[in-house]
Amino acid sequence: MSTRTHLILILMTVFFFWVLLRGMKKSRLSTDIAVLWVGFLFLLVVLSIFPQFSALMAEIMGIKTVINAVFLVIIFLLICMVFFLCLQVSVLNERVKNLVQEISLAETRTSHSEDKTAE
Amino acid sequence: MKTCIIIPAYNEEGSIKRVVDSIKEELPQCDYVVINDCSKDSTGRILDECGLNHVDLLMNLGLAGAVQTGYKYALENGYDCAIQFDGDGQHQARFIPEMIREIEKGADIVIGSRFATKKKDFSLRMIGSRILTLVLYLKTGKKIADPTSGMRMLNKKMLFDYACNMNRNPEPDTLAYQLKKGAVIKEIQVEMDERSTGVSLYSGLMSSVKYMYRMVISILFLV
Repeated sequence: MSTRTHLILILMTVFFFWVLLRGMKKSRLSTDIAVLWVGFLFLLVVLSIFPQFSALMAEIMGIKTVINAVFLVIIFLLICMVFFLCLQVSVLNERVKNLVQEISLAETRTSHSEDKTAE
Repeated sequence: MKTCIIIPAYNEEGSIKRVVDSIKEELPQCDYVVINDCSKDSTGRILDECGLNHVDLLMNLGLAGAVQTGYKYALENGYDCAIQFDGDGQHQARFIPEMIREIEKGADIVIGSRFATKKKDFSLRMIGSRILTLVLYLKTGKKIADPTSGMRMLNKKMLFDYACNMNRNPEPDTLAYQLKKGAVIKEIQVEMDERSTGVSLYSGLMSSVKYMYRMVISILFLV
């Protein structure tokens, strides 16, 4: 990896970290998810600051160009992230559905008991 | 056996009154509940004006969510078994007593089947049904002639399971799941009318393809 690549990676990380902090400050991002991203950024920093580390990693993975190994790791982490989000969305969907059902049933109950008292 | 007839209804203003009336006439001993899935037409008004027992969902949840609401209702009110019954007039109430008898004999799920004793034709829809029967057979080793039938009766154990757990769509993949867990599924030959009003949820080529993809993948790999 050339020095320029390192620089770009570092700049990206710094910028993203700033975006992350801003999101948290504006209450648009929960800490639970922010810590995941911080872990992700931490790895990016390690990859960009220590070229020996990424070179070693590429060696172990059997990839000739170091940058390709870096890409592969980043892509894998992104897939993990998207999957995690899918899980969260499924859970949220289920919760919203259950809430709608419970509230609707509860409203039916109250309207029934009102009918009875009216009689 | 205390039976609850669950009628999910979405935009069924043309048929809902008739369906409920036919149930009241044929099965005065059974209770019913209409789940109004946020209909955009006058279904909700008809239900109110005629004083039919119903639950109004606050948001549109789709068929699965509506049916599950019915199961929750049945569980809450202490019913022993519940049947899903379409609001468009396809299903006929006169077959319900026979299905209840099968539940009493020990079946977990009873399907009102169009093809328990009769043959399927070769329309596109029936070819889809055949594929699902085959896939179900490959996965579970059991033959279900009419897996897509929307007329399903559940006993108390199944009622609890369907009401409380995630991924219990009223579809064939859930049948596969229950079969794998050892549930006893019985089929009863019924007749179904062509739908008189409204449109099928699964009309159109694209949605049929989507439905088949979803079912086949789900049954083969995810159940």
